[in-house]
Amino acid sequence: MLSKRIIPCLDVKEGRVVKGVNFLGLKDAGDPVELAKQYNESGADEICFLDITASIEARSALINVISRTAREVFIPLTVGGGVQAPSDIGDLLRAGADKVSINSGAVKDISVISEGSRQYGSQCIVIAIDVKNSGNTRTGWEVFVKGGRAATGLDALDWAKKTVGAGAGEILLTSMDADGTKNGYDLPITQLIANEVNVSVIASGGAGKLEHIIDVFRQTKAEAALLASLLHYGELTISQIKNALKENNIPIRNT
Amino acid sequence: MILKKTNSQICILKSNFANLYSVYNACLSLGFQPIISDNFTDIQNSDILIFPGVGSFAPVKKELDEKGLSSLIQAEVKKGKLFLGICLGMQILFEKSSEGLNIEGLGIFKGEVLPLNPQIVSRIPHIGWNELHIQNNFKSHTIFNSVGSQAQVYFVHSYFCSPLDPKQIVATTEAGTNYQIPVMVNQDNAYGMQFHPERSGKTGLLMLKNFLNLA
Repeated sequence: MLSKRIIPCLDVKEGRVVKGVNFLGLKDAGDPVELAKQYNESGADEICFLDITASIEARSALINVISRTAREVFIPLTVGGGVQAPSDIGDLLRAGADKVSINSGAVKDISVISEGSRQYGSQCIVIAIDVKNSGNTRTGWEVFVKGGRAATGLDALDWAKKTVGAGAGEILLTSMDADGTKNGYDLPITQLIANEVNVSVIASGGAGKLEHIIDVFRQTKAEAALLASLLHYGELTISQIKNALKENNIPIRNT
Repeated sequence: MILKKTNSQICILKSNFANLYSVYNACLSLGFQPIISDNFTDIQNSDILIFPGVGSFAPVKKELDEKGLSSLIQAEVKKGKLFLGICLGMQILFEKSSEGLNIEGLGIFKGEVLPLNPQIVSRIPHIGWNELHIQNNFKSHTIFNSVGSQAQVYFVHSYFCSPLDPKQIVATTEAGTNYQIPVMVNQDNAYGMQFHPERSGKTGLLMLKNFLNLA
């Protein structure tokens, strides 16, 4: 049986981690590579880098971070942020990413998904979907881009199905309503999407305590949980999370 | 880093369809110094040949054929060279695949490559960490030294290999309820892994190291 995955996500800007990270014994807490190593050691099942660099010039800093990480961390690495064209996917994969997550680039032109999956395979294409319960679409949940600032008019479920149909191999679903609240994952939308698509769904946004992570695996069919500040600020460790999941009979990877 | 003094030359087969550097970096971290090449002499002179592959069956096989590498790999494996095919690099060792009908595989293993059954496997691709069920006759194989009986490794695939000879199956995994699929095969000097040892953390690195030490 597949294990449920715990995925730390690091926001990277110009090759450095943004948002402080509270870890003891790190030589450089701003270095994504150091942090990826630390999370790998502590039992992360995968690492996610989200590049929030605005300029194209700073892209080389990201590429450098990926290739340094790939030399030292031997678990899957997902990289996202600013992917617009199939050639961007190729650049990240060649640097050492295993999977590439695509968000607004796909809303702008879905061919980045279809062409990207044709060239590199569905297994490396993750569609990142940011949703809000705006009430303006068929299911009520609407896709947003630009970090949740811009409404697209697209229905979250329709978009999920469309991108999977185009070749996305996994969905990274972030609830803008839940994100940052620490009140728990948005279970209804996570369950809706996970029930209706036949690819893995990674739940993101809202985790504030252990129970939230247990709940998202117990009450929805999500395959993975993405975590950021909860881990970065040392409020929970990966081993605490995995122990709690294990006690609740949720299959996890032993490390 | 101190590189291991070894007489074994490792060649990672260069192709357009693989994340070659993951395997390269994994070998380096284990103290081995591989080369990445599609040059005939490099391949012939190597002691260990590794073929990592991602993507789909037809274009990968087409590239091998165009470069003349299909017959070279077949000849090298026949001569007894230690060989490891990873993911698609394993699938290509079989006779044929449902993914690329009318295209012959290398036929080093008898059998075919089949799609995961969507009625049983709820999420396709089969992505994530799953447990290896090592077959009884392979439990004491060197490749599992220090690995333990409940090894979990990283998968990402939509097709799987079905060898005609069940004795070639080294390990299976449960991809769906009561649905065991072969994910590691061996015949003489040829090995295939459906999972990614280079992305499977300490367990994967250990298996890769055990494999390299077979030479």
